[in-house]
Amino acid sequence: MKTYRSRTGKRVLAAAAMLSSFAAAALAADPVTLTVWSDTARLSLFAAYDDQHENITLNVVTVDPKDLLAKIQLGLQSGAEVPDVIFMSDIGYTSQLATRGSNYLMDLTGKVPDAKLAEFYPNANSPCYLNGKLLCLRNDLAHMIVWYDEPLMKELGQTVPKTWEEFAALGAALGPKGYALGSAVEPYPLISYLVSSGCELAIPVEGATDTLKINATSDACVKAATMVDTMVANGSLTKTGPFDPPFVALAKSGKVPLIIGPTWFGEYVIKPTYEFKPGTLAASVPLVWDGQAQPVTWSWGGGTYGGYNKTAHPDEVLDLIVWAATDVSVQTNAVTMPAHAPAALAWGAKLKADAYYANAEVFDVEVASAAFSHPGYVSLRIDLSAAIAKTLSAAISGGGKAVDALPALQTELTNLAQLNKYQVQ
Amino acid sequence: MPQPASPDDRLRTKSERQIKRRETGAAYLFLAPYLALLCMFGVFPVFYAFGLSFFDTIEGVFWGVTNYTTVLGDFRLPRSAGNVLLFTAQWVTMTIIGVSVLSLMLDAIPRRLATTLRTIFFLPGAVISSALVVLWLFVLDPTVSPFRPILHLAGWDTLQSLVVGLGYATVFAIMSYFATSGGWIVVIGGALSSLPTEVIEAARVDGAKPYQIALRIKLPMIWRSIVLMGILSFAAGIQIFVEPQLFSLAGAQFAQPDWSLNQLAFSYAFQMGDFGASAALSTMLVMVSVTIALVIIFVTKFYKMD
Repeated sequence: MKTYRSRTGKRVLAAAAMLSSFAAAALAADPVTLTVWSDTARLSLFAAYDDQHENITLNVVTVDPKDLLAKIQLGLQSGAEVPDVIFMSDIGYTSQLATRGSNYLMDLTGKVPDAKLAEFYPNANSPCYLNGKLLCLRNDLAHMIVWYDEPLMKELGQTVPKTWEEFAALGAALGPKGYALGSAVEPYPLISYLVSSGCELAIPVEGATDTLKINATSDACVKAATMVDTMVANGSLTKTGPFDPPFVALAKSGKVPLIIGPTWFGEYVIKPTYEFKPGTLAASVPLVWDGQAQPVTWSWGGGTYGGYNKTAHPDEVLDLIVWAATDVSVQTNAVTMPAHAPAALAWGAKLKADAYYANAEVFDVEVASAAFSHPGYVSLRIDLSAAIAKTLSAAISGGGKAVDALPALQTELTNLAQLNKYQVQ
Repeated sequence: MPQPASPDDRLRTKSERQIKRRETGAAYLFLAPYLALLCMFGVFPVFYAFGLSFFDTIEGVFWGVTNYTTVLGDFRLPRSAGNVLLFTAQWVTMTIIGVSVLSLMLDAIPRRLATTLRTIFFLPGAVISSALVVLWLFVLDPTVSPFRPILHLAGWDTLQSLVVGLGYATVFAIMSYFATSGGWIVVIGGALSSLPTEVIEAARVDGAKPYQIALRIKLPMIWRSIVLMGILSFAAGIQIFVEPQLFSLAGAQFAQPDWSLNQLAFSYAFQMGDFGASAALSTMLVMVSVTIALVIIFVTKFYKMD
């Protein structure tokens, strides 16, 4: 009896095991379709995910990055279908898609393993944290570094500046001779000059919900703005934007020996538009102010991945977001520097081997500079760039001074913050 | 005193009334497709927005005039309203003076040449306004414009200096003028060509010079068309959206995301996700347009026959 029983037991167990494995197989094979809204640069990445995951089909729709926010808001308002996963080309979208009016983004807090999060560069995910919650994962970095034409700098008898004071001195030496070191009206570089000295344009207050610190008229801001005014006066910062024909002509004719720009500037602006000769372009870490312990650098771009909080497949959505931001094999071929360090190291091999650059250290500089990313480069419901354009850029292009426009910037930012329901400190 | 029988009284026989009714019916039949589309895409959205403007669009809760107070308390509203009024004033003035002068001059030159010129004037209007903005960004940029020498003469060497010198309102007014004036020149040309030739001949026989004919005879006879042009331009002007919205194509330093009132309505709906506030602002804009149009039509007795 005993044997029989145990045999039966074994059989039952075996049958149960078989059943459960069938069930698991059935579950695994359960096809899931996720709708993804992507830009064109990320299409191959999503296609690779689709290929590698048998049971998941991605319905990828190409959406103009500028229209993404409007389309999702319209979709939420009208009750039409909204995507499960999105690529956000603008870091501002994160906070704009996590409001009472457009409550779209899935909360990823505690869902992404801490070990994975630790693999990102410092502050790489700060645009994804909103009031302490993680709402997205950063795809690529875009921090500002110093780009320069190595032979040209040598020819001019100049050394690459390490501090903002040396940068200003370089401008004073070269500006009157017709050389330019960047634009004084393009908003992002302007923001980067200002915040480098500790100027607080719209910085979230730690621990306080939806609270911003805005102090655009502080000594730190005045110091940086005065430097801009001096450099505009001696001609080393131009009243045209870095993509405007006059500036491009200047750069092409070898009159831009050095410019502060984001990590993507080398590959996508200096190489194709400014047409620096092969073997001339080098990079250096962000500048410090005299007396500052270490530099702090703003960013110009960097996309993020987010998911829909009411998706039917939250686990698959999470998996896709984490994979897209951190899969080393797929990020190796990314168009811009990945925010995930192991992926970035794999990605950087190509840059190191690229004979276009003056040396193999450009990527090392990008990596070293990533440590200095400004923690205040976060997602805001206000458009900092447009506020700068309307006040500082307008003043400078009209022949005025940046310093004199700081109070107007303070008013504009405070008003915008209050309009968008921020507490202002 | 016995009143003379009006022509209407003489029509009042049964068969004539039937014919008239049939003609009216046919007119309604032809109007129907347009009216259907107008209701679907013109009237219904206005009432929908009107209804929406009193609700919290997220929870669907009625909350009275909250959306209106939100919008009226927006610090950007007075600035945008000022921008739009400045733009509209300049653009409507340019349109009324420019189109009238050009139309009257075209009417005084040989017909074939006038037709050719009218077609040429019309061409920019055939390009959609968004594409036209991009075109104008080139025309106005002193560094690439074919009119470089003229712009340099005025002291503008970059697009920045031109925008600062002229002001955005004037820049947009110039863009809009060239986009729409060609169409109006054709319309006013039509009004001028329908003027009775004997009146003009009589004036000429009496010794009136061409400019006297234009100003004293033709202009007073087409004033209704010019007023209509003014009303429609005003209604279109306060809705300016494309020009400031697309100006950032010239560079981020030109970004004007809240320059006009319609841009504010757009930003409420599609940046802040607040469709109720957007509807409230849109409703107020429609009311302004409609009120002004009604005032002009009834005060000037626009549709009253002479």
